[in-house]
Amino acid sequence: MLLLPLLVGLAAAAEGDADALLREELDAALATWTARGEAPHHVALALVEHTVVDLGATAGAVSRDDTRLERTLDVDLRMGTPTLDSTHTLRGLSLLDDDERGLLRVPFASVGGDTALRLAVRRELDARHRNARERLALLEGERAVLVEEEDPAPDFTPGAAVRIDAPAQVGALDRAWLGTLVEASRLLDRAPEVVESAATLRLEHRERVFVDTEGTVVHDGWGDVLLMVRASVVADDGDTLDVTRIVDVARPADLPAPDAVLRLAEEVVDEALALRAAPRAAPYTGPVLLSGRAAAVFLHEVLGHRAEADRNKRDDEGKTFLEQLGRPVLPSWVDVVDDPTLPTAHGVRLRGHYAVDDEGVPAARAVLVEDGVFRGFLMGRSPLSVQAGSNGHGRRSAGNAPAARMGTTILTAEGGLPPEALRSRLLAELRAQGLPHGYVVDEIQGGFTLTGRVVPNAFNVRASRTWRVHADGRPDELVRGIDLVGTPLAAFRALLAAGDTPEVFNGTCGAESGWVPVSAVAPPLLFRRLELQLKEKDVARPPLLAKPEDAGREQGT
Amino acid sequence: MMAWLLPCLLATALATDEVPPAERALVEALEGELARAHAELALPGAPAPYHARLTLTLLAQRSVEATLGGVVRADMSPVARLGVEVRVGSPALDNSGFGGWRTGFRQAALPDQPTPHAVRVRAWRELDRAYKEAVEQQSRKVAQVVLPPDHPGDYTLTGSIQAAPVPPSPALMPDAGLRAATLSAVLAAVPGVLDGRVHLAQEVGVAWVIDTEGTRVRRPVAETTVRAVVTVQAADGAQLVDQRLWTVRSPDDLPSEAALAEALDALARGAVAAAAAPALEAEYVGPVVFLGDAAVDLQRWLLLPQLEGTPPDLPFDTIFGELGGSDDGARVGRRVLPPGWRVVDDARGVPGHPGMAMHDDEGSFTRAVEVVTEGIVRTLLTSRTPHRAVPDGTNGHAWARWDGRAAGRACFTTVEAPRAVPEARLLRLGLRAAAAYGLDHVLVVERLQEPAVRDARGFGDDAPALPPPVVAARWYADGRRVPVRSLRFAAVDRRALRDIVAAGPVARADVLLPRDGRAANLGPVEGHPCRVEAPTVVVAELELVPTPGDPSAVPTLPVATAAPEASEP
Repeated sequence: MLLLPLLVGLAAAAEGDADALLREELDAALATWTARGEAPHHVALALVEHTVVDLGATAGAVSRDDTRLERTLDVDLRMGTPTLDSTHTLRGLSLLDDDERGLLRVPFASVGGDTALRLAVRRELDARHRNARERLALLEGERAVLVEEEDPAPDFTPGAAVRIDAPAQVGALDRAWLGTLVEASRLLDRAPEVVESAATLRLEHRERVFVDTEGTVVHDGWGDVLLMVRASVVADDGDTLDVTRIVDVARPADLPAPDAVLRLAEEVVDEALALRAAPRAAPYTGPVLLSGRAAAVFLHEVLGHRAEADRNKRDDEGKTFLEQLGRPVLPSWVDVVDDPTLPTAHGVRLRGHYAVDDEGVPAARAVLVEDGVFRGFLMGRSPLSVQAGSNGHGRRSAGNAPAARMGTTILTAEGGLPPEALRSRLLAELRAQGLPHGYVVDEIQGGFTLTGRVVPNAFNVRASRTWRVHADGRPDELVRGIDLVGTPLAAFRALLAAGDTPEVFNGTCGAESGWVPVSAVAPPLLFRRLELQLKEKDVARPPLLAKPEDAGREQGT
Repeated sequence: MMAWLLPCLLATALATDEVPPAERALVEALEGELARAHAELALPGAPAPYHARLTLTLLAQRSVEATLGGVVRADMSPVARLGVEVRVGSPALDNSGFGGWRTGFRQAALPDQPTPHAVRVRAWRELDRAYKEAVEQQSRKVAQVVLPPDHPGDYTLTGSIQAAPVPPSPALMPDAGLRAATLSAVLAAVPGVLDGRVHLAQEVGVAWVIDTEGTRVRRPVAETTVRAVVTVQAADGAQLVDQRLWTVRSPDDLPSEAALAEALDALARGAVAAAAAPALEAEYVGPVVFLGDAAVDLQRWLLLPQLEGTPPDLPFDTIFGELGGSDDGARVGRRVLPPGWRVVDDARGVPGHPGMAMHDDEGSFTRAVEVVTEGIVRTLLTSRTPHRAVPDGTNGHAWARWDGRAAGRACFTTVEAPRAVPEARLLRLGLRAAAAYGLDHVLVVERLQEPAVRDARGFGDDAPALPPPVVAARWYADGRRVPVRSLRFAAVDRRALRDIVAAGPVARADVLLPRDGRAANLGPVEGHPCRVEAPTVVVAELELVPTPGDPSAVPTLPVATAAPEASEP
């Protein structure tokens, strides 16, 4: 697939034959290394072609109309044995603690055959082999000097060959969308208080060829279309407030109608203006109700990351749940799974859906919590002492080594309450605790969590729309400037009730193995006690001069 | 303050008929916003802007990177960018020239297809931010700096300068990908090449400078640059990276495809031959002959910083240590070359060159400046930032990044020796000088490492130093040329140029120079297209030391092009 006019006259570099090329190079390399007595015990190659189409508009002008193509190569090569191999974490002062690779772009279009791609593959195989030899030597020295690790589990779980041929059917993005984006950007820009705004549309299409020494050959794809409408305002106290609405679909055909996009723009402006006028809330601890999307991010940050196996293996990690295996961590009416095999949930497309992970293992449903009891981890091919075998969660973005990561994390609650009943429960809890008000968080910007040992093992869910709920029945009041914070075990034990209206959060999660698309699904969750802390705030005065008016629009041009 | 300015600006309507109406509308929108900001931006108890400048850059571009016949990167997105500079206080003491960030100098991306309203909104936002930053920066500067009595001031108001006509732009290359891939395939045909890349970039458009003095300058941008880079590896694991650069105004000005292919083939074969040469075994101390591009690079790295006359930022004492305050490399009255040598810098001196300019980045008229006579610096290349040794103010050599203070920089520099000898005679003079060191040969350097294609370790921005040689040889009295590799200069500084003992034929090379003076961050086709002419020379004494290869880097797989010997385990 070659889209760029710049590439006229060129042929796709080994399109369709990429798996054969990778296989040939892998076999030849193995033969050479075997002859030298330096054969790795496992090698995997992933060649990914990325196509990104960006359309965008700001203040009534086309800000972006761009198509980019790139092809990346990742070689995961393991020297040693599955028990101890070169991917084992280095603990000493080696300065090589992380995987050394960077993003490697390889040819995607060529003149005269596949020489360029073939040599690029060969060079990377050679480089990774050299790096793996070096790491293995370092490891051997290190193990002689350092104490034994907390988790002596092997480094690798061998698997069976997988063969899948399922390229993605994404479709093209109609450039007529530019007109809608321009119109939406005009609506966003219309309010004098909006200092910056944009309406953007991004199509991402990835086609992957994966081969490994176990005989796996996977050709699959992933598509995503992200519509984003954003407006920024500055409150009188300097607080810069961004309101963003995102529509995430798998194919351009699933995008909303242009009218709906324009309505979204109007909603964004209305909400930004309302937030600008809203008071900043104060730090608080007490009952908090999270809407479904906010609860889903909470689930992702607070439980999901701590269930990732690699995070429970390293000696410098907090290992929140390692000792909780088989013990209750949530109320008995709560189950949590991570299931990348689901393409949709509640009628919403799931970004975290995939069939085969980045280690060539078919994705599988992983039970994390059952009846409130912690049951297991998200596993890649690196086993834990307490849990062996991959459940297809080894993931990464190009240029990183795979690690166990979330796909679609789903919390279900037995006996969830309807919205009115859940609100009544919140009010009852406020009265029981003698508090004048509590909070409902119904929109979030994302979040982050810290899982190491030196820093507090805390989370922060970035609230972007929070309502103060008064116990005396006064109308809810929109507030700004606070985030949800806390520590995981205490937070989960404060879970009081759940709703019956689950919602989906689609996002992109960044961690040690790069940025991967994820989903989280949860019903509204009511907590007996959570903590809200002040969000950071800009200190610059709002713009000193009035925003320029759109003279052209007023004149009908 | 300066209430006269707004009507003045409005009165000087654009007169250049060649300006397309859409572009004219953008500039008028920016002028309107600039005038409004200048007249109305104010904070209680804070100084108002006394000068502000906007730069508008609108470029169509093509950029391709190809390796051994395959394209790895292709980009054709346009460039639309706004530069903003706000000065508060007075020309005697303003917010500029003080270390740190948030200084009142900003840049922002504009929409790919800008409209007057969109650029005006962006200018409104950035001018607001730049003004607030400028006020804060000036207060920081006033709080920490005690200016010496002879402080020459921070800026020079020059009055308005009007637009120059712009010649028609060359057409964009429709086949940039194919051309880059085809050229890079030439490198794939040479056995022993580890990696061969062709970077091809074309920019076509305009860059505007407008300011609150009424300056309105429209400058053409038309550049097509090809950089070919070849990497080879010696048997001991040492890697050698060599390159060739072509930078021209129009694709039509490039050598023919056949000529380019021939040059790339020669580059690759030369690199392979250089990698096959023996490594330098022991330190070399003695005379060094600089031929060809190496002669140009010698002046580029050691001379040019000594001619650039914008004082560095005053140091800002922060919790991170001092920001800014690097040494001022330029001195009027300093000997930089032997007696009789002369240096001229003239951005108008090479008609048709892509870096040629009638106006600099502050809008000032460029002009030829005789910087060095008799080997001694007589004046400096300046921007509108005054230098105490150059009372005349700017001489039209201000070059800047979008978000930085413009500084006086060299670009089209001609270095002239009082007399020149033929190359053969130059080599004999080198041999004669080497004999005094007990050497039966003289070291000849033909090409230096280009930092834009390979990190030259130890070659920093602050210390005048020379990158390591890529192509070098020992020359013997009997005419033998024996290549040598894996060597680097030790302890070279600017004074080495005073030790030039002979000059030969003139070498000339196009180079891409950093607009902000920082060479370390430039990519292969980034930078200001410039040209340096300098004689080939003998330097009386330099030291070079071996740089051992890395045997562990010897490939286990046949990773080079058609080199079967490399495939042996």
